[in-house]
Amino acid sequence: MIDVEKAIILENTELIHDVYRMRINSPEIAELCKPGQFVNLYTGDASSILPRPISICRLDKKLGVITLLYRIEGKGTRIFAGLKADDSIRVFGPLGNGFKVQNGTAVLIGGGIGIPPLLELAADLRRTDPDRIITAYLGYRDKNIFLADEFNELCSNVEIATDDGSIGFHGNTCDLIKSQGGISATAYACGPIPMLRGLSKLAQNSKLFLSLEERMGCGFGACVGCAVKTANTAAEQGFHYKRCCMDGPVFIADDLVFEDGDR
Amino acid sequence: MSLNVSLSGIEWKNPVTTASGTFGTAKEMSGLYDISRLGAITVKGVAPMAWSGNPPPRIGETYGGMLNAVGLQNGGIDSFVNDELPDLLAVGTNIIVNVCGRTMEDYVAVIERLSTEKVDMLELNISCPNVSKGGIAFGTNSELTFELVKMCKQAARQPLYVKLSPNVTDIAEIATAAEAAGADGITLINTLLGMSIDIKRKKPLLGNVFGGLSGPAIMPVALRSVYQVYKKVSIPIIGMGGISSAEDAVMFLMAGASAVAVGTANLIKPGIVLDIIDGIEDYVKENGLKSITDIVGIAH
Repeated sequence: MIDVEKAIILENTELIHDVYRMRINSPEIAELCKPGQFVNLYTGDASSILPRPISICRLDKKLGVITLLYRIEGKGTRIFAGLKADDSIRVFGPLGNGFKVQNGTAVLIGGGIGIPPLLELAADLRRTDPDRIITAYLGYRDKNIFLADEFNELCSNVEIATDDGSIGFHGNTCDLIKSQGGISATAYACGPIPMLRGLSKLAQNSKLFLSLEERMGCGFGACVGCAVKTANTAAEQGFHYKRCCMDGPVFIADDLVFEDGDR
Repeated sequence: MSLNVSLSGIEWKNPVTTASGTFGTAKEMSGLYDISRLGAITVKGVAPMAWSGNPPPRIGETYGGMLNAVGLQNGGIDSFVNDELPDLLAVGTNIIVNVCGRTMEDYVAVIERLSTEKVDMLELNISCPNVSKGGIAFGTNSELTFELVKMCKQAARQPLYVKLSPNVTDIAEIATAAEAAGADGITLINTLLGMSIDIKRKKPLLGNVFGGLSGPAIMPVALRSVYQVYKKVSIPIIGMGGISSAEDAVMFLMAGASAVAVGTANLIKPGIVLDIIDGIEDYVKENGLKSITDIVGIAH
């Protein structure tokens, strides 16, 4: 973990409405990063003190560049959206455990702003095995899609689902996967909780890694704020809260306890 | 020129510690910077048994501060003593253990278990707003405070500090009760009870609905509390609440705190405690003080 007070922003462009790509020059942090990890970005605004954890979308260790994709969700990300190339930003990372790449065929499933962290994973899967079959299922709200070209370059097959049917399959990624016979290889997913819950039911015979999101205080394990419910038969109530930031954000689906509800 | 302070017979190399719950069990920070430079480390609350804590979301940002409703998630005293304490004791600074419980017997059980361990000080948490039983229920009633502190003091082998809540009509009255019951010192303030609402979901932001407000936003309330309590008690005070610079820390010392704790700022900027210690040292030098203790309570 390295705290860089002033990392230079190389690019900060809006890809589709409210979704931005930020490229940051930070060789020290880039060198340490792996897919599925995240960095904290800070607003520099004294009224908005908490870090914003943003997952790593793409890494260029040679150039020392980290690419992040984020969606405007509130005050902090709105501040980030106002930054321009040559501005600086405080970056702390890398944080979290990241994906553990397995051998063999891989399935990637991303929903909305959960898609970006799977791109560096796709690159890593391709780099470690040029012949590997990689299928990506990407779910979007509508025709305003992003990163599809980048996934096409790295994956054997890319399937797109949109909620309104404007591109690809009409429906969500779970329904798309069901329509194609389910999941039969190691799967890696990131996206909204209902999607992850659906996948964990679909992938009962495959190894499934889920990258979660939770509101964080620090991002490095000190505050125990980003609780993720995990099964633990030894615990009093049959579950144990782990820290999304340190014990995750990537968890094995079988270890998680999903609640009903729409969060 | 000296930054040394002495609290209830325990020597600190400087007057800076960490606020419980913002420093984990120190191992989260130990790889980031030299934590042995701290005057003391105050670790997360420890109960007799493992507590699972509150459902998420537990964290929310507010203007100049944050809300938390972690709910004192901890692994229990046995796990603390076996798994965490050995590394803590090897750090090379004072260790303060924050003690929590749902009942009086809970607090006593933790204190008794620690009586044979080499921890330096105890902090009685009677002020956490995020647990349904115990915690703040003791700290908002001066009679219960008196009773609990008296019982704990009998069991304690280390100096016993009592951490107070600002969510009361008169914090000095609770402090006076703690002192009368034999407390060796007072720690204040814990977080202010607050809430936020997620307007997209049209629901309270926190899983627990209410949470504790901390960060720079609460500093004036914390400073006022230290000032008031200093007037009423003669035991040492460890002051905290929103400290994020050496200037903030100096204000607390001037209000009457013998030492200070840095809380939320640890989460925002790991290593900020070292900047604060260095800044206090600069202040002492620039003002030609013999000792940092010269300014304790000087604003009165």
